[in-house]
Amino acid sequence: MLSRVAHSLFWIGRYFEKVENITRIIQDSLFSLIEIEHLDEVKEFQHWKPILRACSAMKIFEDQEIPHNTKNILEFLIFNKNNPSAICNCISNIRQNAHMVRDQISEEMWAWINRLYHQTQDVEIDCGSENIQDFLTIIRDESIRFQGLVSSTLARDEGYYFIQFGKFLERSYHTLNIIDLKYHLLLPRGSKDVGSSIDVAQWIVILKSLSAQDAYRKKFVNEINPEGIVSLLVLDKKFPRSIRFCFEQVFKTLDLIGLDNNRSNTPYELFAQILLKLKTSSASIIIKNGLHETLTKLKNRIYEIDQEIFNTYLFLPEIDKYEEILQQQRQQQQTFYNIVRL
Amino acid sequence: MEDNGRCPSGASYMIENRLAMKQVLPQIFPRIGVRSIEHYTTDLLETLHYISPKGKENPTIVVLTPGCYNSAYFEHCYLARKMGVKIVEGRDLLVRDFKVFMRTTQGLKQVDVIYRRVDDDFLDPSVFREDSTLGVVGLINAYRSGNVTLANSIGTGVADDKAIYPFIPDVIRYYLDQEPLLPQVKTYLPYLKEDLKYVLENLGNLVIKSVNEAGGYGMLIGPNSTKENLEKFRKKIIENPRDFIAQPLVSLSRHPAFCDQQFSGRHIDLRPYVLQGKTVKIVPGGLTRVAMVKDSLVVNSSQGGAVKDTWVLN
Repeated sequence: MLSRVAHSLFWIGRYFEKVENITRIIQDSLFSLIEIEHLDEVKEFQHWKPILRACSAMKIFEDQEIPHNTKNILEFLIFNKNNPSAICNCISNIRQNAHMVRDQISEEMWAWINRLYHQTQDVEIDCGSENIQDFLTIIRDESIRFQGLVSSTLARDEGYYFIQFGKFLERSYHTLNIIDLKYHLLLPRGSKDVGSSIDVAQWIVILKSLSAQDAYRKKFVNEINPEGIVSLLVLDKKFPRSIRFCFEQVFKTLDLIGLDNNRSNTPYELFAQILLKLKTSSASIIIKNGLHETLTKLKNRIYEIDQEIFNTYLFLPEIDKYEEILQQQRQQQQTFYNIVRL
Repeated sequence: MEDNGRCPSGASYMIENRLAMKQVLPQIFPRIGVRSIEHYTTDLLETLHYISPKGKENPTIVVLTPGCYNSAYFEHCYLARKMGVKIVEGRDLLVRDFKVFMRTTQGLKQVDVIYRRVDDDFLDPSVFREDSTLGVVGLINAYRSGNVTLANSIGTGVADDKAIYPFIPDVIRYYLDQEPLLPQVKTYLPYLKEDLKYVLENLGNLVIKSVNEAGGYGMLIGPNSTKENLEKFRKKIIENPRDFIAQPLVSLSRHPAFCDQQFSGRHIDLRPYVLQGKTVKIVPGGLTRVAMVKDSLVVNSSQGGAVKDTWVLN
């Protein structure tokens, strides 16, 4: 498969996961916002801060110099052209990538992506009204439908694996970011509030943002505590949003994509190491070493691997066009010179 | 009226159009005996196989496109898909040791035949336009070394040049030692003194075409034009006589077309598709282009022209 095509498919997978994740987290936060009493701008911003952080959009938002109220924040997270991870920008990127590889994806996938794009661009929705929830529901449902479409219409070849690869890589970033929210929400560490009702409520928000509430209840019937959370969201083998699950999927996909023998497969080896570490770790060890520290370390590791993957699978080294031109012109002259001498 | 020697687009429209017609009129086709055109892509693939460099068997063939923002991108994708070959952009290819390679997830893979839909000027920045981002650096070196075949070859655009058109009968006589089989439209070249005189005196009866333009742009249809426009062209011709040719107005055929809820006559022309490999194959059909504006002679799709399915009967 052409590297450029693989690259586009990778990003289609990645952006779709992003759209779904951001939509879900905004919807949940909108719901929990209802429960806050005496809302004012300060409280609203306090509420959205972690979300902005989880969407890696905090800095750009503060640069906007607009009032920090819910309406503006929603507009920023969903539509704002300056925010690269705004939902509608992600959708537009999906379409752009799909357009370039139109011959590689199924007819249904293209038609569907194109429709979603037209449904979400240049719409006029008041972010302060209730319509925004309906709009988000449409996007979330549609992106779930897309996963179905991919799995039912696309051949299981390299193209499919690159989509899956992007999807699970993005998901592992997201889960890491969401769990880490607790660190930013959190009361100062060592505080006597740990285990308090606020503490539990915050964990519930995190579980909800990852659609993990039911899974948690099933796995641990008893109360919500950090050990349980870590063993579900970080270490669980079966929960589809846990970090270990995502890593295993990425690892499997890398294996299926494969490489010819004469190139070194660094990302594969790096992933093997990281997976082994997760498999042999336990919730209590992670908490003892500091959850935030562990998560940060993990994040840095994936970022490294992310770059390696780029070098190994997607892009052969970048080419310097002018150096190439010079070289070709030199070769041209040499050849011409030989002909003249003959 | 003119020659298209590069890779004129529209073959995919021809095939898709036929597909649509067969869905609408399924019984008529076998009854009348319309000849099939669907094998065009198979024939094209066969031709591309035939021109493989040094007779290499199972060559790697690609379609080279300027990219998804090109107006004919649909066609490039369509042909690549139907032939089962890869569609590549310039940035997917690179040249090493006088050979062309594509960049794949499994490393570099050599390319043997390029069906290219990128114009000469943009094809190789080390030889032609240096600012081109659509081309492949070193492609011409590889081509000269005989390691890659281009279809169509570089320079076929010369035959596209409208100022070459009047010399084609002489070209045929010179190279083939034959009289041309098809007659041509009389063409005046304003850079010749006597032709210039004739053109300026008869401007109102002639069609003036810019030699460097396509798509129906830069054209003057004398009899339908305004006085101002005639004067504008007169000036331009005197300034740059080499940039224009003139032909008498050829009345294009008319054909009923369904416009504004009724049938009425519209001008048409025919673009046939010819493949030359081991043998010369002419598609038994083609793209009939229709000027949708009443009395207009501009059939180009970039200016609102439409197309019709074209039948050749058994």
